[in-house]
Amino acid sequence: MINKKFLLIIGLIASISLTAHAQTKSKNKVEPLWWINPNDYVYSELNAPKHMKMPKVVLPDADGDGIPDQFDLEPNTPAGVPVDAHGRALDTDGDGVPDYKDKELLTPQKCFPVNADGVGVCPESQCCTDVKKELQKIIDEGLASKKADCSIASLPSIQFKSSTKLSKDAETILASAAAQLKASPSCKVKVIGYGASSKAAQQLSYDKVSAVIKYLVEKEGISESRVIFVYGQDGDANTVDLQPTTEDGPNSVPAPHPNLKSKK
Amino acid sequence: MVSKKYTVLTVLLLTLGVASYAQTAAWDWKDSSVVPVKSITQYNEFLQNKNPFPAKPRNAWEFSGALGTSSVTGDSKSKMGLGASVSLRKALNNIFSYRLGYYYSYNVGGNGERYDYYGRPAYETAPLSPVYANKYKNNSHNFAIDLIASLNTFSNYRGDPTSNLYVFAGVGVGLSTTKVEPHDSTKYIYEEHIPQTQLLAVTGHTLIFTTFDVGAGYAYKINKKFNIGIEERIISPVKHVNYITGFNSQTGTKNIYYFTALKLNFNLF
Repeated sequence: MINKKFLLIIGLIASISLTAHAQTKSKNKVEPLWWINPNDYVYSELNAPKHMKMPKVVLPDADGDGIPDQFDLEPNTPAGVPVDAHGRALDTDGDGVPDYKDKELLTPQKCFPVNADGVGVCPESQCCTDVKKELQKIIDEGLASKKADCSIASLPSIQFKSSTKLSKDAETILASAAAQLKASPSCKVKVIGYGASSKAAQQLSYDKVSAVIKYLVEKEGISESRVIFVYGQDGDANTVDLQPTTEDGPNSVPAPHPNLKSKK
Repeated sequence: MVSKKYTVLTVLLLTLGVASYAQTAAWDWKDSSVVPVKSITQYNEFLQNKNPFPAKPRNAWEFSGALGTSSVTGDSKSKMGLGASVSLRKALNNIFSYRLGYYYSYNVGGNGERYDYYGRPAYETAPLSPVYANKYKNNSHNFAIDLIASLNTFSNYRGDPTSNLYVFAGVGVGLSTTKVEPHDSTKYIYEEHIPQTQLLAVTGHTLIFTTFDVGAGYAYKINKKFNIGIEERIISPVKHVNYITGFNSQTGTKNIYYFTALKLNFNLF
């Protein structure tokens, strides 16, 4: 029995001393290997790599603008076009047309919207509008005064008989009308022929007006630019009216139906 | 006696407390201080990612003290004896380790039955001589080296193991001294039992023989410096030995030690 107790006490003393030893000894060892799970290292690295050499991340960039497809909001940017952080072609003025297509790089916002070339239509300034209005006013007034220059109140009508030839009376009337026109150089004369019921009447009207204008220009020396050719109006076919005016108009028109031209 | 028992218990608890209070560091693959000099090349290569495997760290010896019961099979029925051991264990790798140990056992047995020379109970045959008494007291010592295999798998689901199941086998040398009570003695005193044998060696009354052993054990980790375990160890003489239980023949039941022990294991950092 003494032996047993002795052994027990020896064992306990050994235990205590060994434990104390374990407390003080430097830790240049790990636990006995059967207490270590080698997978600890493997799974620790998988979970939070501290030693693993991570491969360089390669992200596809189809359009080569430097922004990976995953983050590229404009995947088809043409090559070489500068882009922003989202891979969109730069649009400096923000008009919706990227710089590489924009013919007006810095369109002011007040000129929006722009066309496909990025060119905007700018509204006129208030000052400019006012100036234009004033100018228009002045022009209108000037024109009105010009029209007032034509002092001829009325000109007589020319009466034809059935043919297109001018009668003696008609030539006299035209001579007096030409004298009036020469006296008022700002006036023009509108020569109006009638006859709209048929092609033949129209052509006849044309011929009569042509005869009057020919007489005025060639015999009386009225400038062609002061004559306005009007034919084919509704009215008495034998009458050609002379109307003083300041309007502009054609002094010659092509014959409407040359095949129906009067033979006389 | 009671106060002594309590003192012993208190000391034991204190020991456990101190042991469990110990702070230890987990294995850190970056820690070069645990790398042996011969592995420092591998360690450096590993740090530079030239070698995928970390160097095996220097690991601690484990010291064990054990106390338990011992019994010996034989022609004489064994009573419960006492066993104690001290051992040092060192890992070869995460599975295998070896252990150098000394095992002491005190074995008693015998119930007064008598056997004839051939190991048969004496009453079955004529009392041929010689017939021996089988009451015995035996002191045995065993020095052995064991190869231990941990049965723990490398867990994929949790970290370091907290318990360790292992089996072992080993070889060793045994020393045995037995006292017997002669069958014809009326004084019932134990005498030195002189083995009549040409075994390995006999020095005086001490029999020396080679042994092999097998066993299994279980250890539970209290902390990184201390764990507690139980172990069953079976020690058998290599040759047929029948003298340990005081029977002087080579025909009876072979003597085999059974040692069941509670172990206190300390990692020697």
